[in-house]
Amino acid sequence: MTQPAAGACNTLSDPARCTGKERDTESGNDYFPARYYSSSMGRWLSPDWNSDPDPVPWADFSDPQSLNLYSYLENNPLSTTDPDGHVCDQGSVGPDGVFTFHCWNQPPPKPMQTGQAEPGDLGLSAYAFGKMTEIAVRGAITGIASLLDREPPPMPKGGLGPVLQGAAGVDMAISEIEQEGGTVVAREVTVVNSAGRARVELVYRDASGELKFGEAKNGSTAALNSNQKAVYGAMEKEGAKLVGKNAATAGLPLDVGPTSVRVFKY
Amino acid sequence: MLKKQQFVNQIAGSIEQELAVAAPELRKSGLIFTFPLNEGMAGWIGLNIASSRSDGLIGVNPVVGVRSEQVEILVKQLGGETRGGPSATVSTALGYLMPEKRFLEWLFEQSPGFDYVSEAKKIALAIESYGIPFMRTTASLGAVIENLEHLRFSFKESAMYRLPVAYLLGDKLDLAASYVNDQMQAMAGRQDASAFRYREFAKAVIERAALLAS
Repeated sequence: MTQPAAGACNTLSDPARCTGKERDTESGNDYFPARYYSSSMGRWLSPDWNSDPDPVPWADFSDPQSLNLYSYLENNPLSTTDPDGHVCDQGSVGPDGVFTFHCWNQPPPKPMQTGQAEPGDLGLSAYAFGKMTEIAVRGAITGIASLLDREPPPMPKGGLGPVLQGAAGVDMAISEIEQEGGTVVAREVTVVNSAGRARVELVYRDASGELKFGEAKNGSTAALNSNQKAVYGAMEKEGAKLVGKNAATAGLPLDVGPTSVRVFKY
Repeated sequence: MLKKQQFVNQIAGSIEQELAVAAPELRKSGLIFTFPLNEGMAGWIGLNIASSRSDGLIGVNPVVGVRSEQVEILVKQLGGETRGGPSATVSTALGYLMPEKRFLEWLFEQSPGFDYVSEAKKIALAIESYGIPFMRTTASLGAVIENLEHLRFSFKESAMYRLPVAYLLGDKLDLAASYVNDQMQAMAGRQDASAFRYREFAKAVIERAALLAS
């Protein structure tokens, strides 16, 4: 496999082909070490992942687009490349004229909440903390010089981390459901019973085909709020009506019989 | 800045615009789209929206399936479905039809720099590439029955209403009656509203089966 230099991609009419990766002729998807990329849709076919239990290990918390676990090169394929499917910088030219991409095979640490930044290993960016893998590429380097002038992104101020973990908890619950042979049917569905109404984060069908309900909580001590406790408690005895737009758009039934709401804790 | 619902409507509008090219007879009902596939069968698309994500992003989970007009009308007549808007007979989250075979949610950021139209186009393209071929292969009463029997792209709580009705329409009257009898047996002793509603429905199915047999 070869990896074209970033500059060379500017001459192609289809930027997605600049991946330089093997294309599965049956599906039309490009194979990267970490995941498949769909060139026809311009996105990854699965969210970015990491073996460590870190919700968004490859994200740059100052750049919201990097939080989209499916976007390819933060939607900027003309000026950046991604050799392994996780995250890479924009490359640099060494003293020997070799163009090199710098890719993290370990995630960078969580952003600091103080607003301070530390320099990266090669001084390329302020968020290059992780252990790096270098992929050397010989080839055209014309036009890449300007890419190296990028200013280090500002570090986030406090608050972003915990918020992100909330969303990631749901993602982990989804993974757990799928590992058990279930499939997710809907997100954020309103349930109503004699105790009131609440919005359940996940509706899924288990491996046997039965509808189930799930709520993701972050931290072993995180608990349902009082409204959730009341409504979900009543669901175990009387079931609930499934109301609202999300119940309709997911093709859910009008109601369900007695069932419990599973709490996923991470 | 637009309210979230307005932003969601804009996203849905963009998806609709793209889909209308592939399916010119597309109809919209809220966030549900349908279009005719063949006589009595329609393609069904629902946009399940996660608007309360704690990261502030809006997630769009496209749900795709088919709607058998005959099945849905009869389910309603027999008291099994009273939700407004077109309901799906068989449906699944789009991601499970894609090569990755897992839940996929497209994320939108409500900010001026975010190109929501491009993302909406990607959703439409995914629906065209993976959803519509699934709809075409499921657009027959036989395929619907097969799906509901094996809960391939459905779930028990939906199949328990639609499968006996599909049996009735497929002239499998004995199967329709025995199916609802089995379901009633399984929920014996239950005193919840869902069970009461099902018993009424099952009674209506048995009566209809007897009527058709005579």
